[in-house]
Amino acid sequence: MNEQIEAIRPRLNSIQQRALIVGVIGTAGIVAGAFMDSEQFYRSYLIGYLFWIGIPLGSFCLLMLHNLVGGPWGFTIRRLLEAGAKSLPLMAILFIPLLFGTHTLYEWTHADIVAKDEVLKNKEFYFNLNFFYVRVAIYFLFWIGYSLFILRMMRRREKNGESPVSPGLQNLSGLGIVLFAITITLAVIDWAMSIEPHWSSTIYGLILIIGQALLTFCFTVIMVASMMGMAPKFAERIRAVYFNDLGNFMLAFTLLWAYTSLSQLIIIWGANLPEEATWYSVRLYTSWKIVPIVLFAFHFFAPFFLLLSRKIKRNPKFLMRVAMLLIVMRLVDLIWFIEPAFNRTGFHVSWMDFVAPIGIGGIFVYWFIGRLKGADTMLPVNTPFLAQQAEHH
Amino acid sequence: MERLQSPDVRGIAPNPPVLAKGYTYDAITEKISDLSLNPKLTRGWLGGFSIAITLAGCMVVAIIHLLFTGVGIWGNNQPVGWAFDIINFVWWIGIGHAGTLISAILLLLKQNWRTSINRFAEAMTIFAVACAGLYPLLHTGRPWLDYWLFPFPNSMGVQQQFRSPLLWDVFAISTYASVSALYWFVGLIPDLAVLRDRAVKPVARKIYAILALGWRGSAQHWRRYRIAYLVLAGLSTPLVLSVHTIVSFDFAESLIPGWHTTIFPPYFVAGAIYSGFAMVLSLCIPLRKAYGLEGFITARHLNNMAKVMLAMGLVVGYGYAMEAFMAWYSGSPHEMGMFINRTTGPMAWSYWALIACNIVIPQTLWLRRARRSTLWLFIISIVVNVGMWLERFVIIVTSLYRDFIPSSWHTYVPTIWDFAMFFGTIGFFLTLFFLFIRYVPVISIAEMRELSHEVEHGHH
Repeated sequence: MNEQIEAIRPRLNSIQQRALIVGVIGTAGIVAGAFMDSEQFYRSYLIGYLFWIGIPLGSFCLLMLHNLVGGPWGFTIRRLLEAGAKSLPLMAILFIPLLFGTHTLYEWTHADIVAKDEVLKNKEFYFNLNFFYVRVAIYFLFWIGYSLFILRMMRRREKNGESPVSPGLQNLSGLGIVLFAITITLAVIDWAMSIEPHWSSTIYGLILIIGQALLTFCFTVIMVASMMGMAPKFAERIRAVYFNDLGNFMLAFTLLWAYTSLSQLIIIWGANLPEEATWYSVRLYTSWKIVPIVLFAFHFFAPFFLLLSRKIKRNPKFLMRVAMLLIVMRLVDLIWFIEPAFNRTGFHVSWMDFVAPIGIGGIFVYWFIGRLKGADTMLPVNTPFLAQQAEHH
Repeated sequence: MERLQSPDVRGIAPNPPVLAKGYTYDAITEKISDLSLNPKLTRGWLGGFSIAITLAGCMVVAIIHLLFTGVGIWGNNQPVGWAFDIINFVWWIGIGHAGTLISAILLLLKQNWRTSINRFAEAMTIFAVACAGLYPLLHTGRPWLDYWLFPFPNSMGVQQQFRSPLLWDVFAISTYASVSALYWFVGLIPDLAVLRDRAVKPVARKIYAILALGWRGSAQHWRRYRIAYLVLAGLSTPLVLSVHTIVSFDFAESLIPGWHTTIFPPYFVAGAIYSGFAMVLSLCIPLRKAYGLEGFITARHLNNMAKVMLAMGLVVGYGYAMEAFMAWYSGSPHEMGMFINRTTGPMAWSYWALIACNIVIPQTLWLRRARRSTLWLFIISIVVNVGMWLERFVIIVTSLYRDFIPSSWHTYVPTIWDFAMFFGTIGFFLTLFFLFIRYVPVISIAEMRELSHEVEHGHH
């Protein structure tokens, strides 16, 4: 039997309420911060924003990926991924504050600096505010439009009792992954990489995309594990082996993150070109160097060894803790990407770097649970994997 | 029967089976072992083998000439100090990767369709690595001193540069070659025992007996075999990443525009898998036709390999796009100059041919009809092999021939000895492959029996 969302509605309501309270308090905090130090506010907001947009984008990409490769793990978390994808419109709204911060965040918006700088002049036709706004609009229109289109197709198939994927849907999902990879890369270049407009790295987009996928898996694991506690019938259906699969994905993306990050470091360190090495000289050779040590220990070393253990991967409670650790590390990684660009002399984090992600997170979770409640059932219906499971019981 | 149609859970239009119906254990054993024990000397095999060994002969001649005369017989010059020798090295190493991916990673991912293609994909890996290894060993100019590459205590004052990815290559490739060979051999043991037991000729029986290492097929043997196989699979998996990553560092750690870019490691790995799958298809399509193996290597295998190829091709495309974008974004005149020269300069043909082969033509694989057409898949696999060779040509030659100062510009023209060596290694590779088809079970008998059990009785 597929359990109805109704069964856990009261619990979801209470989480949603708490999320809203956190969101409101957090927002109040950063609004206060904005009046105290508007420059810091925009940096912190950018960090929080880059962190949370990873979940809706990651969710939708994983949905499309699952349409291509299949596997029970994806059906288990489908409702969560759908709710994640439906949060893209919220992220479009939450982008608005950044539109006011372009002058603080991006050096290329300063006409006087651009006039004196050959490199920036060369990019002016791309990095000017009008085109920047146009691109933001294109990204969001495309992301929201494409996700709504695919989600509608998937819902229709589920309602009509058809098999979850068709060759047409698979082709659209494949195409979607390609287009999302391109647009997300361009978006993170616009929003994050261009804060240091003289520096570039071809692997940058990939590192952040991998980080988003990892974040999405961690967020999903936490959500599934906590929903299991609320709904016993649902918990019955979630076998340990699915957690094992999710844990393996977390392991794979942790490794990919380490692989891409280390590759970038080795290549830039090896060549030691001034225009590239500056990125690391700030981040590795000042007091910022404490952060990569933490990242190595807790974004790679600890989770790698923990996630090798099948015992941990099959235990929702343990896996949830590893996921929490990795989520915190994702934030630390993003802080390390953004903050040193503005604090080149040494380690500096503001209280807003933490309050902004918490505030945005509260609002995000509030919205996310709202979308989750919109579904009827906790697991998709008419999937062959459910039929197979019914046989086993 | 339901499971026979579709062992996975996606429930889309029933997948073609991974093994045709009606193969009992005996039928499998007979069908596969007969290829090695009672081979019919077909005209096809003889013809193919003759061509292959003739080409391999060219390689031997090219190597002898090289040893007596020196690397000056190649077209390498200043500033193109690295050309066919490294292009072909990277090309061959890349081809090898699909074997490891299919045999190790797909095993760990429990993809049962790998079973009928892993044996010869692994063989392909070993032969390809052997071909690849020849190039840097010969390019040192004095191959008899190649042992200097290894750090060993010596009184000659020879010290290795541990910061150089070229030295890491020595370790990565030698590890890769030995683990792959070991993995392949361990997987072969039960099948060699089958051949030993079925061989009639005493000499053949003796040889297979030695190679089977006293395998008796007891439960204890199987248990240890399983553990060894899984451990080796686990060891091989990181090698897929590490080997080509280090190969990419050979270029990316330098300062040359066109080489020095951070996307290289993942993009090289994807390219390696891309070309490897293309080569697997190029080999297995004629093989299954010639030996009537359509029941083992089914349309499902071809379809899956085509999908992997398409995905890897797109990752490679992402790499090209990033290189182009960042060449402009970086604002560096050298990067931009290199890119403009690559796309519009005298060697622009190679860049656009590469885009056509690697990016444009393979997009037809989106169509189910294209993936189901054996002929079209074969053509595409050849196109991708050519494309991936061109990719290395573009990366290496077009980054080098326009040096930083125009006075050092020099074009590159390969000599006949470059080609003799290149086609020679293809011949060498095919010779080994023909011998492999003749003497070793091309498909794992033991694993096919297991698969037939799974297919008939469900997966447990």
